[in-house]
Amino acid sequence: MTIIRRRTLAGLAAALFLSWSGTPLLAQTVGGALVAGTYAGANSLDPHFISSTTARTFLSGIFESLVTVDENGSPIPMLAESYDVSVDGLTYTFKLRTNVTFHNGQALTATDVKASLERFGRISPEKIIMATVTGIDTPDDHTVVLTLSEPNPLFIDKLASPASPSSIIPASEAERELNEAGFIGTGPYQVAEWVPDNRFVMSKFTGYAPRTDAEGRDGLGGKKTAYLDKVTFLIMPETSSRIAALESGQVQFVDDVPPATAERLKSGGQINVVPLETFQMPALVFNFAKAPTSDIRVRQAILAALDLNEALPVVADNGPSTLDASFLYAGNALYSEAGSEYFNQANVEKAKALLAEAGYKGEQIVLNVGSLGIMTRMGLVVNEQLTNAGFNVLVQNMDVPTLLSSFTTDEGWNLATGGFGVQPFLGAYSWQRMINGPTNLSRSHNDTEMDALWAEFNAATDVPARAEIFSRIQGHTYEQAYFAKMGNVGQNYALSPKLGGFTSWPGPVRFWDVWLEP
Amino acid sequence: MIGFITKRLLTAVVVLAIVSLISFSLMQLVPGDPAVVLAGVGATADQVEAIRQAYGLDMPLPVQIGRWYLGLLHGDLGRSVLMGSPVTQVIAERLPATLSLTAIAFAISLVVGIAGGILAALNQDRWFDRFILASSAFGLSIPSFWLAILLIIVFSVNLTWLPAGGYVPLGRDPLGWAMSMILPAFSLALLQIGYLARITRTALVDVLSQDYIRTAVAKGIPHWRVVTRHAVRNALIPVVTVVGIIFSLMLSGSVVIETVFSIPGLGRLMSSAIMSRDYPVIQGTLLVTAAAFSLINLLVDIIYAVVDPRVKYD
Repeated sequence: MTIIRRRTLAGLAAALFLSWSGTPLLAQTVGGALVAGTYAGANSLDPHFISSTTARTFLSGIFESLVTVDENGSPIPMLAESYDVSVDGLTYTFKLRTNVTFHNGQALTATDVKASLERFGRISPEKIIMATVTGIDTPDDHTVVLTLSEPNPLFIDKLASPASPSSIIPASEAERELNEAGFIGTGPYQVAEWVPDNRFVMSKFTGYAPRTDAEGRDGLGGKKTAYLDKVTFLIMPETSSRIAALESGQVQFVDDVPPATAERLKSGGQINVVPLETFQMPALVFNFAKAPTSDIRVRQAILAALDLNEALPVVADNGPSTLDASFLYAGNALYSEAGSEYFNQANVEKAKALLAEAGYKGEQIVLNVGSLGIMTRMGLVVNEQLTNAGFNVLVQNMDVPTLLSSFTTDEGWNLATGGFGVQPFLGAYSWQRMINGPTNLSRSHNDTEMDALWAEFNAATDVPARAEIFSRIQGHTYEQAYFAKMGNVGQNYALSPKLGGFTSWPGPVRFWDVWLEP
Repeated sequence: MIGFITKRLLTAVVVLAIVSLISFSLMQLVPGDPAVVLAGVGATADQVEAIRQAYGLDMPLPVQIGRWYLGLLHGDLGRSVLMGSPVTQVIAERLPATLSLTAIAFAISLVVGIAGGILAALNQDRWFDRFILASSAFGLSIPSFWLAILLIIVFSVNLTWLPAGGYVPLGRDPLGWAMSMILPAFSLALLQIGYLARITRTALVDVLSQDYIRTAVAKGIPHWRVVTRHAVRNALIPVVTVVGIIFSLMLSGSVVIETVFSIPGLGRLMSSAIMSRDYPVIQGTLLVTAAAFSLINLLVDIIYAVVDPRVKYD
């Protein structure tokens, strides 16, 4: 009950904010410089090669794409005024907005879009999106036509993905190789300085032309306004110094605030804490290829044994969390509760019965635990619950790169601590790589039913049909026990009370439509 | 002397080649693969393989090592797998921060440590000596990360005199640079101050009880001159030895301090490279660190000869 109420309130607050942000009801202050302390730097800041949360946050104010995502992760046009899909699903025609200029003063044209998409298709980790595109034509300066070799009903969803966005940059920059393109975008902010591992500074782009067809900010799209003159991200990996910088006034915003610190800051009354309930989905991944977890009954026994009422608060370190079986966040059009009967069963008797049926005689179950805090806590609580239920668990602690290699091999592990950060937000389609085909984490090599379900999903042309199929995919994933989702785990942001307009959402942190009161 | 330096420099080249070979081989033994890290969860085997090929990680180990040495001869340390930029550039970007930090910390510990040690020895068994001994024991026992956080709470949060972290390049804002360096340099120096003060005190107490000091005093040479000219100079020999060690300890201690104070230095670069298996960066930073160690040892040997005329290198 509490959970539902909390979510409803958050939704209401978000809805209220959206309706406010376009109107002058709140006194937005123009000008000022914000300093934000962030927990990690970014390895690459190439507009087409983004592989970390921080890089997405840094660049989301700088670059824009033809289409992007709204507050719920659904696609909306951004640099495109509008787009049309031909009846056969093979031709996508984008009409560009005519008043957009790049940070270098040059006007956006179809040639820039073509060159950018070609570069995206060449170097992006998400370049597979462009694999079915056979032609990019520019009949005039503000029209771009993409031709596909086969229908791909999810093409727009994928093109709008903020994971490693299809940023539009000037054609002259698009000729450059990986990590050599300049920071010239069309966003409300432009890059002023980038010192790796130290700071990322952006300043207001005075030539920015916002969309006029929206009330205000909507996800990464809508009508964006840069109120601040300057935003500096300081990279501060050590939590205590990041918090100290906030308390001393050196910075006005910090991310990744540990729950215990958040409580202390809240009780002090000088700092505002904004939780993000849906930051990630920690999960215990099962290996289908190695005994004894190759037996579905053993995997189902593990699902049965887990008591998430006890485990989730441990995993979340008593921070924001919700017990929710779905693979997507509430609010997503494809949200489903399918398979929830397998979630949080806390039924040791059922687990023992399943183990007896499988003929389990105490064979070792190797649990690979990563060195991140959340993984360590998950490893501890899972080990204890499974051992109590009669499993013979061997815990192997390792750093994250070693853990990641587990998912590329059939041998050496039965269970591994893992989790999903971007998939729940990006949407249903992004789950395919995780649970189907050669890249699935669970080393499942011949699940023909899963193959068929995804083929059906990828061919579905409307949202209700996709929702129905994805519901079956989620149910099948639980039935086959690909992994045990532990729940949704959030994180906290802490900010100065003078920082107005900030709201949390599962996407990159946004500093447009945010202002500093004097 | 010139012959000695040349010989030592040549030995250093051999040492560096061996260090690189060992680190190259050790990295291969550690599980985990930079291509997997870069490709991310859910990447296809083809994607991982493409990255491996792009960075030459698919080649046999001897070929990889050979290519690396060949590049080194041309001043090329390869490209960072995760950042994409040349390793020399990545290191050059981080070097000023680490140099600032260690140089200031080194200067603080030399001045405060040696002066404290001298004053303690001259006031042997009096309250000042006991105070120096007690505070150096305190300095030696405090973990640097704990001290760092304590200093942040006092000077940044409560007094708001100094920033809690971050690095300002010297060229951009000298005052900001100095402000950003005070707390980290002091945190790094404190342990070494205690160490140096104790060594200096012991050496000087020993020298002060020597016959030639009594002779000097008996000849009527003023006290300060006996101390500076005769005693301290002789007491410095064991101190010079530990100075080399202290500098090495500071380079390794900077990993922790750079993390706590958010300083973009070599230490943080190396630890994050290890965590992401960025082989070329690990190789490059190790090479630079090993070169710094060799150079410092050479300098220490040269200083020996300057301080102690009995030491001669031929």
